[in-house]
Amino acid sequence: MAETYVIEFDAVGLRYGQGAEVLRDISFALPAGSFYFLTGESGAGKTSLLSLLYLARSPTRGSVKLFGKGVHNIPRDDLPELRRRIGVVFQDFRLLDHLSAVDNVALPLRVAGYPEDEIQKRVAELLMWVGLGAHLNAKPPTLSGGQKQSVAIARAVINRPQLLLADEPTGNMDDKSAARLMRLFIELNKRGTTVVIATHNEGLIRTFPYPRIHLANGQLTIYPVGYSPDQAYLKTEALRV
Amino acid sequence: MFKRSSDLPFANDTAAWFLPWMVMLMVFFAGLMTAGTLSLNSMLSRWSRSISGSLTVQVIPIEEDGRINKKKTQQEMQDVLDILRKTAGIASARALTDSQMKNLLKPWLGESFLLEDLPMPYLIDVQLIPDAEVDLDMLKTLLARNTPNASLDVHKLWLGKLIKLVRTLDFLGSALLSLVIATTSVVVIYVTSSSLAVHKPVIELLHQTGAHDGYISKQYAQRTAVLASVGAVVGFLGILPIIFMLSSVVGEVQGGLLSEARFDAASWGLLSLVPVLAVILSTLTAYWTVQKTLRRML
Ligand SMILES: Nc1ncnc2c1ncn2[C@@H]1O[C@H](COP(=O)(O)OP(=O)(O)OP(=O)(O)O)[C@@H](O)[C@H]1O
Ligand SMILES: [Mg+2]
Repeated sequence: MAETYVIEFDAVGLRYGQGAEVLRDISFALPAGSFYFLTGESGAGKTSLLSLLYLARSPTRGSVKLFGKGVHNIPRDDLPELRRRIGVVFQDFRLLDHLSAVDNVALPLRVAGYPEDEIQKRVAELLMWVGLGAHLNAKPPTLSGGQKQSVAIARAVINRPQLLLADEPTGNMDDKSAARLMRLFIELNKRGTTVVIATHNEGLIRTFPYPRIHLANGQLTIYPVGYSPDQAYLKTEALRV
Repeated sequence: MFKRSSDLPFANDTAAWFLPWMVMLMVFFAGLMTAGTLSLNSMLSRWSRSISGSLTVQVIPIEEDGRINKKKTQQEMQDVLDILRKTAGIASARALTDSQMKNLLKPWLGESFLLEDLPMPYLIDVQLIPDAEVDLDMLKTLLARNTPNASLDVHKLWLGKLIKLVRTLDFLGSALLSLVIATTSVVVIYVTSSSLAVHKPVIELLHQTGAHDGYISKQYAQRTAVLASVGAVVGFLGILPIIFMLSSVVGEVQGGLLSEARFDAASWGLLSLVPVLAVILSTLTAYWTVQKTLRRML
């Protein structure tokens, strides 16, 4: 039986305006239920790649498929349903400052029309779990960087997405909190969610045994568990999917 | 839960405070115009009824050397009839016969009198075509030029002029009303678009979390409905004292033409539609503006 892919890139290129291509000729596919780290130096294009996946922009060339469907010919009216299957933790959080932590996390459920009592229950539970039980009604500007990040993560996972894209989700946290939130992602992954986590944190990558997607010079390489781009001699063994 | 009726930070929209003011002005002007139009029109229809149907032309007998020149008078009568029959909007014109005149005068003069002895004007009964516009002004000029002894009913002529004036006012009123409505719509569109521009990041995030356009448009519609309602209520309250004041003035000149300007229950009903329609118009305009703008976003 053919494996089902959640993400399929075919010769994808992305450029901003008239600049050079940030992503060049990228082809890869991630099977449903997989878990990947996404690495690369600052400016390598991690956020750019993720933004193609959460449909914030379209590729300059090539084709992107999500859940088996080409994103360029999805009717506009079908986008909301597709986006509800994707949870995103933005590198810059993008919390709504005028809403409490609860209301921020509740957004994906509200726009999907869940009943209010179910929303309240689920949101409070999750915020408790990520360690924000004491800050349910706090507005983001009054939270610390790590706390904001926890709210952003909670919002991304509250609707149990089929695809979770996290851009540097633990960058502002101590190692203990980071490990705790990683377990949240792992839990989600066990239930079938495909997870892609962009990170600079080599410690995290060493602790959790998942393969990595590495971006360099606009090109993408996938390394199996235990292999890394620093180990030049291993590069030849890197898998291209 | 009213506490959080919106995910958009509307509190920061300074431009939105134009909206209640604008709607207040719209409701105030539109309400006054509606009230004015309604009372003028009730007056108008009563007046029209009183001049429609028929009118009378009288021809004063032509005297020569202290005697009535019957032949010349008959000629003048004929000329008047010719002019009347050529005038648009007139169904028939018929001189009253001597016996009809006698019948008319009998209640006052008894059975035995000689019509020829009395300096009575000859009367022509003119039947108008129902609902037709008769240019009484022109008719009057024509008669004065060709048949100096004939004259039209002056009261009716004057009413005809008033009706024309009222119709002009009516037209001006609706033109002004359209202008006010258009301006308010433009203000709603402006306030909504600028808010959409300011909150673009929030809207993008709502889209990202899976919101349909309708989810966002609905919040804008709700917000606009609240702002417009505040303006509409204040604007409507502003009209009331003016109407009461005018009605009491009208009431004092009982019996005059103004007393025909009634403001009845039906008029009140129509008038109270004005603020409701203003709120509906603003709300739909806001909703439509958001839908149209969002359609251009990814
Ligand atoms: N909106 C944009 N307009 C123009 N250029 C952009 C835009 N976003 C990113 N870039 C450029 O694209 C390149 C890749 O940026 P990107 O944000 O994807 O890198 P990154 O790998 O996420 O970096 P970091 O680790 O610092 O988050 C950079 O050179 C950046 O300048
Ligand atoms: Mg980035």
